[in-house]
Amino acid sequence: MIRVTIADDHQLFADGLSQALNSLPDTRVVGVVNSGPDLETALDTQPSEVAIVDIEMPGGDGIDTIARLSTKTSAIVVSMHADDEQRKRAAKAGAKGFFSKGVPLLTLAAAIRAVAGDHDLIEMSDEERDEVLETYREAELDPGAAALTAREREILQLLAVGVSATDELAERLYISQKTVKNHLASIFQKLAVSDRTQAAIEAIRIGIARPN
Amino acid sequence: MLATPAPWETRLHKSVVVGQWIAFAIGLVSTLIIDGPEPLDFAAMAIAGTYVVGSTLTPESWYRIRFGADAIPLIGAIAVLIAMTMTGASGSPYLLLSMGPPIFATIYGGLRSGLTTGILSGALLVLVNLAGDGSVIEVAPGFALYLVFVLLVGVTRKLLEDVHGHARALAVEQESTVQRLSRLEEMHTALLKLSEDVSSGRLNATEVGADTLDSILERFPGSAGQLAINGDNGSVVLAARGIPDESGHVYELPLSTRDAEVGNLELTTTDPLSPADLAEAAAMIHPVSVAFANLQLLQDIVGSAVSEERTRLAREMHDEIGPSLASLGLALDMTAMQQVDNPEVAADLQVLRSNVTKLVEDVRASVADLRIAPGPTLTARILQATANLEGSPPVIIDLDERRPPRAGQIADLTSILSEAARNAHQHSRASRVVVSGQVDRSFGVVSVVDDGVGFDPAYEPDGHYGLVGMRERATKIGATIKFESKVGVGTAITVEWGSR
Repeated sequence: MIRVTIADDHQLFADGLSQALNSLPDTRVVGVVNSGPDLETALDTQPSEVAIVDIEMPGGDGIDTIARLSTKTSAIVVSMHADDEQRKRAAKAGAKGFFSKGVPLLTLAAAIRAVAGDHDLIEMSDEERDEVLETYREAELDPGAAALTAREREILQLLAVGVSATDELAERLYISQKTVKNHLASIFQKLAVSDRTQAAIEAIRIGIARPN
Repeated sequence: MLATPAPWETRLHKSVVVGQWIAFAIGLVSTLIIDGPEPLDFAAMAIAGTYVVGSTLTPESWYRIRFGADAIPLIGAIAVLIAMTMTGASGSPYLLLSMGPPIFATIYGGLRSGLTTGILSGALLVLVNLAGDGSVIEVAPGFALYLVFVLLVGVTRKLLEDVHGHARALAVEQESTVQRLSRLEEMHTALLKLSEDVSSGRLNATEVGADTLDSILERFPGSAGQLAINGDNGSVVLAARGIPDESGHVYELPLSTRDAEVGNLELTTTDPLSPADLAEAAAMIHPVSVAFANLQLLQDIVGSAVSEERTRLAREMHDEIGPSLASLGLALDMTAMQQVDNPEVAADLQVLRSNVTKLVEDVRASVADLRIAPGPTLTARILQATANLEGSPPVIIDLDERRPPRAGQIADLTSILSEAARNAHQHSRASRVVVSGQVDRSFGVVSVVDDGVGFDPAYEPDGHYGLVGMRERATKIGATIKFESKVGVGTAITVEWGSR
């Protein structure tokens, strides 16, 4: 799970981005702030692997803030000022990525995964960057979630659509109730949850089950 | 140059001439009838008559030449005294006639000349009288008469001169007033023209300059001139009229207001201008100076207002519209991701998403454009780049440019089009080269067309005439370039970018 902090003074955009990133299985927005100084404070109390930073914000320039963040986080600039001059400034300040606000969600998500994986996208040519982003197009699930078996995913899908009674699950899957309980125990452990409802929610969040 | 006689001088002259004829007539009557003529009387009569005729026929101008006012009366006085000597000296019937020369001397030479002639006449009369065994006392009445007449005429002359001087001063004043009125009228006409220009919405520096120059050249016929206004990039000639005479007199008059010099008028005239003429020309251009200064002020105000509005627009687009659209794009991405079971809906959403992305990019580009101060138009840039292409064929720029191309494209477009125009000018042997088309910010289609020798594009090696460079530049800014040419017909190079 990649933790992301968003620093943008445009509330609608920040909330929209936050919601969009939280809908992905491997990114979690842990903080939304609207200024550079607030970003620095937020990162002290709630660390995150990646920060999405706007350039023009109250209380100072976002790029100047990035220069002060040092190794606290990997910063990606997402701004309406996506021109070469600002890109150079951002690169000099230590930003790892640089996008216009029109960037599609999946591209931004791939960029978040890439910079969390220590790639420096900002110094790459367009072709190189596209190549790297392509390799990060798919969500990287937690080891536990990735270890789910096909049968466990079937059970999670049934939980997601409201089938939660052991006997019903056993009947649907043509297996014994004991086997269902064993699968559920394994699922709880892999997803780090303690009951069937939490398991269903997490399965939906990480994209391996759909609620309908 | 001799001065023109004043009317009073002519009148006085005539009066004295008439008076002399009367005096001569009295002398004649006295000699012929009262005393009875003697042989010597006839000789005296002839001399006195010659004097009277001579003084009648002597042009007034002779008195005005140097020493004329002294010498001519003196000759006259001697002639009359000779006649008097022959006819009884101080008792001569021509005593009255002898008043004539001192009076003439007084009229034309003033009191000094009159007294000189009078005293000399008196002295001669004394000598003549003494020679004829007379006494000095006998001459005294005649002498006194000379002085009295001289003084009378001298005072009269002075009075008339003063009156005449006042009249002349009044005339000069009147003429100057008339001239001033005439200037005021001209200025009033110029201001009326300005006012008309304002009412008809034609208040631009070129119209104002041209109208004023017309008025000035009308006032100084045969002259030529040009009116220039000081701009940010130096002086710009707004209007030029007439062909300056190379051997003419050149005057440069500043167009200035209290605070600054806003331009200048260069006036070339065949005849030199007097300080009064120059003052008049300066007065005529003064309203224009004010108009120019106001225009500059207006331009500054408009420029400042436009700049503020651009900043406000840029901020609004950057802070509100752009991020809102971006947010909408993210929402579409999320919705599309949830449509795994509806690939058609997902595809539609994807198209929508692409449009939103394009919109965000447009907003971003517009924000960048708005934050850069508006520079010269594409037309102005091409004009500047091709300004040194003189002679035939002429390069005609005829662009319908509603808004200049974007900041990221305009420099390359200028290079491509001016390069094409330069090639055509130098190599095509055409009768003319025309740069025409339409430009509206992110859209444009512009052609450089000539009717010259042309070339076969199939055989024309790339690299010749910088065609490769033009293509590269076009590709760099996302434009397409098309070369069409036919040997003997001409060449058309068309650059197109964006879409309506």
